[in-house]
Amino acid sequence: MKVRLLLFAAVAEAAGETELTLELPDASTVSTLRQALIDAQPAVAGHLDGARFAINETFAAEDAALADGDTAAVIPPVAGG
Amino acid sequence: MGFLSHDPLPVGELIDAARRNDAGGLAVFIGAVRDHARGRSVVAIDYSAYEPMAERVYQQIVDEVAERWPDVTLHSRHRIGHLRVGDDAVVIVASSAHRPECFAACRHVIERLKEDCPIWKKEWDAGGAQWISPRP
Repeated sequence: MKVRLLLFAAVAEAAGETELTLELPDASTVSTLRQALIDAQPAVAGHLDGARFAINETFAAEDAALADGDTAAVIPPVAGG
Repeated sequence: MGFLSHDPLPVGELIDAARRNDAGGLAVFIGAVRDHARGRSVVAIDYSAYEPMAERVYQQIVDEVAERWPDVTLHSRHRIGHLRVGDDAVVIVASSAHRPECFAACRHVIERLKEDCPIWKKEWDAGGAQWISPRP
């Protein structure tokens, strides 16, 4: 399956890009996606502590399932206000 | 009008929007850019967001307020972009018949935004900029 992954803040800066498209095996979860991101962009590995993931603009747990065409995002610790 | 704004925040308009003849209490929280953090001086902050998700999370928080304090009228805005010391980053206005509800709603909104709203800041000091992670 193909998943679009959006990157923000320190993660985007470490990767040098704000989004990438990842080809993942069937039955992939957020954990699979996290590893695929590190494989594709080793520079972000040190910036994922405390980061959460979202699928289609909603926070998703590590075992949440991904579907072909989903837009996922890495959400580093937020700092609004 | 969305929650996020790329322009300076219209504090007076937000306050007026929350005024009601049956609301005797109106609470305002403003989060402004401070000139120091973690022992360093700060000259500016760049705020960025995952904008569609930030709007969605804000709507969830609005729904939480409506459920817990049905009498509260809420108007809030967060600024995105390059802000300097003293600029307003977030404004939250809540009104209600009596003061406990508007104070509580105002506090709830800012605390929930800081937990879940996908907004980030990069702080600038004299030497450069760094991303801020409140939960390192």
